[in-house]
Amino acid sequence: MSVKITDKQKAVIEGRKSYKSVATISRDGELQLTTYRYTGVDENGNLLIYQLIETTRTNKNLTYALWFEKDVLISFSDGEGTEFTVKGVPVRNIVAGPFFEKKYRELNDEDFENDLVSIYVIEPSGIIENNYEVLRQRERNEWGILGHMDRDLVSKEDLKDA
Amino acid sequence: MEVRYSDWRSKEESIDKLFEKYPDIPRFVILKTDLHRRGYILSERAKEQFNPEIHHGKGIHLSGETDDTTVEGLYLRDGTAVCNGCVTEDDVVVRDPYIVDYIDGKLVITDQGRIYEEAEFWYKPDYYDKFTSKGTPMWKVLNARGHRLDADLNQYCEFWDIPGGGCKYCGIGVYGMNEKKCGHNLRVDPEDVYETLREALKQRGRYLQFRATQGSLLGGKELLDEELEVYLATFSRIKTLFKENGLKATINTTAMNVRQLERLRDEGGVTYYTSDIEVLDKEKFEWICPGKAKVIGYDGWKKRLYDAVDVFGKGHVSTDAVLGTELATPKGFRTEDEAIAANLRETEELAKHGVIVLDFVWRVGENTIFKNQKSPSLDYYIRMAKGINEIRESYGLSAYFADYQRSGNQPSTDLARI
Repeated sequence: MSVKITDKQKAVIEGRKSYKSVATISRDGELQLTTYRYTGVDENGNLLIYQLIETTRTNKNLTYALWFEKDVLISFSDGEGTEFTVKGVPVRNIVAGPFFEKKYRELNDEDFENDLVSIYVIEPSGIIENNYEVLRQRERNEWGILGHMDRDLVSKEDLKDA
Repeated sequence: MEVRYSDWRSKEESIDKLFEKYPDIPRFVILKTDLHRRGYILSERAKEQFNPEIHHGKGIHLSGETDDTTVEGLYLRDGTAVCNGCVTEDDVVVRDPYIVDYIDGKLVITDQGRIYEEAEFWYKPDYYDKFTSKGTPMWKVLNARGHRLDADLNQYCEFWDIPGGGCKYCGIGVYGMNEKKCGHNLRVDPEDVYETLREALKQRGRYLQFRATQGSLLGGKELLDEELEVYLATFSRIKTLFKENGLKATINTTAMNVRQLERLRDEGGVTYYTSDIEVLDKEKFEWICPGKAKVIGYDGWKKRLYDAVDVFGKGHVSTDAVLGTELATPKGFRTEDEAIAANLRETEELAKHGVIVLDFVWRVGENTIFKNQKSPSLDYYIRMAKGINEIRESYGLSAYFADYQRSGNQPSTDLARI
């Protein structure tokens, strides 16, 4: 695996209060963005998406991505400044077996309304940093030509009316 | 192993060519279809990986029991189920089967040395080694087809009592006849079903659906009343396990009349209904299923399916077709093109009335009248799955109740996943 999810990112991915959004495309090329409740990381460093509803467009699209090797994007935020997007292709959809049943019980014990349809395994091919502060600093460091001129005056006094 | 049609590779398009020919059909579904068609055998290395304490081997079926020398099923990497096709060296097959091997720490599906996909054995149900209060082994009461619990309530089909009346592709007749001669009990006790189902559901997260079927029972005050009572005895008992309307079940009966269908709904709590017409052409049906043709008739069977839509609702009624039998010689269609055109015409006719056609891939059985026949090409089954799925979509019919997890048997419902 070429891309490694860090421990800090793993904590956000597994965090119950983190924001998680999955972006997919349908077989007709239509875009879909859906919020998810439960994601995780397996022992091989793959991203896991716990699919709770069978009939959603995103479930169909994840299967489509697995069948035809299409990328999906999963964005995470802990609401406190850690924001990133994992890009990858679904390589497996777990529908049965000891691991599936263990996760079913965990999710069901947490909230009895939780059912579990399947667990998509996403092999990450890239992790994109989305944190605003990091992106802003990076741009200013690497691309000094960008941005409005008035921001770089020596003195803010020069911005005041004469 | 005896292979009846050993030169098939030189006469049919290869799976690799078909992958290229149908880029919009997932390779998983094409491979699963061919595994059902050709079957698969375990290599010695794969056999070493199979542990009957962990994996699903023996099972109870309408056509008899299987033991731990074969596996019940496989999962592919995308969750696709392979429900049929495990053979042994002792079997006679139409085409040489795929080989499930164990290579580099993975169970894989191979053909002529090429690895096609990873696979996973199905898992042994937790209830399998337990007994009902009457002492019946629970594995002989319900079989677990992946996530579905199957109850075969009676293993004898009375169409075989009509001279020449048995369906020509079906292996139930020989098995049931032999068992009956031996005086064996061919009925499953409703209380055993109740206890086994209750025990099975303790394995949380495993089961999605209960399915009941049986061999046809023609007797009773009206035709099929005896069969109806067998179903009602079981359903009226098991539905007490669930909340109101909470029984997730399908039932597969001989085509019943309106009064009987209403009793299944009202007394049994049945919400999804299947009755297998088996062959999608009147003339071929009358040749292949003579008992059904004599007692109910092709048009009668269709009428009863349409009546079932009135009782259970549009999209809640389906019918299986054992695809490929309509090409059997000497009275079948002469070409695959001709058969596909006829099949899809009839699929559309049924869909117009709210009935879903489900495609069953025919594997020629040794204990059947059609044992010397040859099933069609893989191309045939891909075209049929694609066509059936497109018709279902165009008529707004969903396949969820017989989808990749709840049934896992039909290539067309695998395609409905996206």
